[in-house]
Amino acid sequence: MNTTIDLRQGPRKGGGSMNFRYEPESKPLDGYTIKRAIQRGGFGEVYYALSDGGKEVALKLLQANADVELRGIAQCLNLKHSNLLTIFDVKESAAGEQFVIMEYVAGRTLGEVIAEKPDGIDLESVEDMLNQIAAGADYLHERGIVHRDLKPANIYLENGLIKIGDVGLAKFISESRRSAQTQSVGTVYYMAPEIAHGRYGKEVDVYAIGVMLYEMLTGNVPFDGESTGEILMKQLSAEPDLSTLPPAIRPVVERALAKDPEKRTLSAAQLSQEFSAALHGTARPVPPSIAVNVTANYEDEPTPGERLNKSEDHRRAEVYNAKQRYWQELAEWIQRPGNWMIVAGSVVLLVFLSPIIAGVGIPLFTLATSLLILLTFAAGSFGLVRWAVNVFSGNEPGVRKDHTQGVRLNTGYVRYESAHSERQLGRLDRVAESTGSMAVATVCSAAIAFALFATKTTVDTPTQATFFGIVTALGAWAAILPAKIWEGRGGDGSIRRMMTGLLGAAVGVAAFGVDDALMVDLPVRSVMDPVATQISSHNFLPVSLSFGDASRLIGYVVFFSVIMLVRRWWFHVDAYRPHRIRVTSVFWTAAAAWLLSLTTHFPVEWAVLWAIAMSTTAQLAAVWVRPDQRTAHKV
Amino acid sequence: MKQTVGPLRTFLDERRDIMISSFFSLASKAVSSESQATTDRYVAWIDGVGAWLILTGSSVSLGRVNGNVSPLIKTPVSEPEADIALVANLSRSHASIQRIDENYVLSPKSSVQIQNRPISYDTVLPDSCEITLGDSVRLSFSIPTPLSATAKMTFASEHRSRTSVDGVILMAETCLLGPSTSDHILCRSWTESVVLVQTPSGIVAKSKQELQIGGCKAVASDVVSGGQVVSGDDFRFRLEPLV
Repeated sequence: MNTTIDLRQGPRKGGGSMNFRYEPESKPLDGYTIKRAIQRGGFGEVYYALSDGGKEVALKLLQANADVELRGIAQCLNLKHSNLLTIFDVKESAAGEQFVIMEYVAGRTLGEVIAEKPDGIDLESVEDMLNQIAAGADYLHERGIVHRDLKPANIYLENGLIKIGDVGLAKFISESRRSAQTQSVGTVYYMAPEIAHGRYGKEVDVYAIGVMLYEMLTGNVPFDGESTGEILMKQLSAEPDLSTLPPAIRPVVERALAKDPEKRTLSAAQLSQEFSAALHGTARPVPPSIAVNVTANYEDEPTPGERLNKSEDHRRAEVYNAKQRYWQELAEWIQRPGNWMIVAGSVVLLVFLSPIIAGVGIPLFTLATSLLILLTFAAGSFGLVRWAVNVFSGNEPGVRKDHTQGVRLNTGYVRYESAHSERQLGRLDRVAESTGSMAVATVCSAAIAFALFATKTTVDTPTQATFFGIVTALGAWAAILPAKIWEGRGGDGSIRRMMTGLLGAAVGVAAFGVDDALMVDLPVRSVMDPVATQISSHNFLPVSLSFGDASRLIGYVVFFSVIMLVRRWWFHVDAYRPHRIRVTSVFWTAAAAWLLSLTTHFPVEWAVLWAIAMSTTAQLAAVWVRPDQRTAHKV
Repeated sequence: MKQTVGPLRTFLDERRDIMISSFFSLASKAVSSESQATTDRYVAWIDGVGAWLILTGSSVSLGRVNGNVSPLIKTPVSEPEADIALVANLSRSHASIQRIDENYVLSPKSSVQIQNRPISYDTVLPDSCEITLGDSVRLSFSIPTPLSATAKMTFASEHRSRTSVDGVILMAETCLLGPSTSDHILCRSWTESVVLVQTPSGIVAKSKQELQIGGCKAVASDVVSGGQVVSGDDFRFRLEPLV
């Protein structure tokens, strides 16, 4: 690659000499009067000219490799797209020079727009411009043409309309660079790494658009340097600094700037779609049954007599619909496979643990717990292998990959995947991933409990450590299990909270049972003394409890159900969560526990430690798929 | 400066407008007889920089372009066009701007706003402001340097004259072209400034660099307003007189 490029020469600045061949008022082409020179590009000089009829045009005088360039232009001469600069004609002057007659754009270049906003352009404008650039580029790509020299100096903005310039000329950039010393450094910033190997697919344009997107958002190019060589080296090896971008947009830009063209965003259109999807969040589609229901309501034509009250009817129908929708959604939610299992599971867990509440004693309890853990391991051994593969390769399970590649190939329409996006996940995968994660959670909880005991942090005795570990594991399970069932399915957040809250209550009951069995006797007390009195005096539980025990039970139940209710646990452990471990999630869970311990009679240290341990364990154990490995899916 | 704050403020603003306008209508009558000379219009075509409409004379009109002006029409329309004729939804004669000493006074003939405040009387333009003509034409008005009374206007909206120019220069005695932001016409790539000066015989160009006019070495008093191409070491431009 030729690197004799003048670095100081900006794309639009003329530099030192202004020796354009034609002075104002010259008429090298019949019918056109040159009024002034606009700029000198890598392909020749560009003039502003008026036709005899008064039409303003840009005349490009081809200087080097005219034949090669003419071939490129011939291919693009009759392209029509609102985001491409129109080429009117190609003409030869009396002196035998080739002129390309093009649309004149009075507006600014994208480079000038970016220069005006050194801290980046606002997201809405970026989205608009990106859409238009992508539309123009995609139009070219669909016609088998690669622009090869997309850069802000080549993109014009007039009346809010983007015009991509130098179409057809740019195709032979590699040939012309050898002869043209005036080639500006501007191009190097937008040069994809594979150009070094002489590879010029449409991925080159996607990369250039990615660089421009980064530049529009931050005001700076992702790869800058003192010399052309340094910049090119960074294009080949350096990773872009995405930290200044909004988090949702980072994976979109990262994929557009992928060094490997195979891993890059597939097309310009896809890039703009992914950007819009990331910007607006993924819109959740309305379940079809509800959509049908609403339409049916409005399709009921009122009889002539009713017509007067139509607006009133509409209002009533809307209120009715809103009410209906809620119950319908709830009913649907319960009917969905898996969800009823959570309901049943929490009930079973409550019943199962009631003997423990009765204080049957340590042996039975230990047996039950060991059985549970053994079962988990047995079921999870299959899942554990997969889990390990996923964790250490940062890869997604094979089943998902196969499925989505089909989607990708068929449509090409993808959007950025988040924990909210709906996706396919096989039943077997759900089982494997949840059991595997639960097994890991057990190990992780044990490790944390041991660490606390070893450092004598609040947990002072082996019994307390066991107690702490078991409850932490149960808490993490309560987070992971339903989340894995819900994963990839659209659903109402408040219902999910209610369900995890219910599971939290079960964890609370279990904690009480374990506490009782191990005789830890944590100083937990309920603020709801009347309720405790009721429980202890009326005896409607399968076992009789003293007032103190009832009070403790309520204390545990309230603490764990609230801590499971206030946080979006299913989001924290979703395979498509933004980061494997988010410290802020742990922090806020701990903060909630701390607040909770202040308002209830729950020991502060235990509350905060449990919250931290549960949040950390759940996030560590749950499967996480790296954003760039996430499956694409049809919009 | 922006929107009115209350009725009292509106009232005071109106008072001020009336006072200023009455003062200047008197003043302008006094001056108009001597300096209402012809306004000459030029387009400065500057290589690598752009195109600017330069207006001499102390009073210029703003309005809509005539529909049927074309280089190919043999019999031009009798109706005169505004000095600054824009392709925009304006009246033929929408407003006028008059330079009185160092000040510019805007006389609205149709809907005009200054800094988003509608005006109905002659109003002195602040040194830097935005003028709105009609519903959507927005012009940025400024006096780039206190050394000269020359003002410049650029297009804040996407409206343009018939052929694209980057802006309009309301030229007093001098007009500076050069690389500094205090030059009236910013020419980033230039190393030296060029000063255009109005003289009784026409506009002359001065620079530290040696100038060539029409391909020949220039003499200090050579007029450049006849359409000659003016060039230096690193620049070239032409003042085209408009009819």
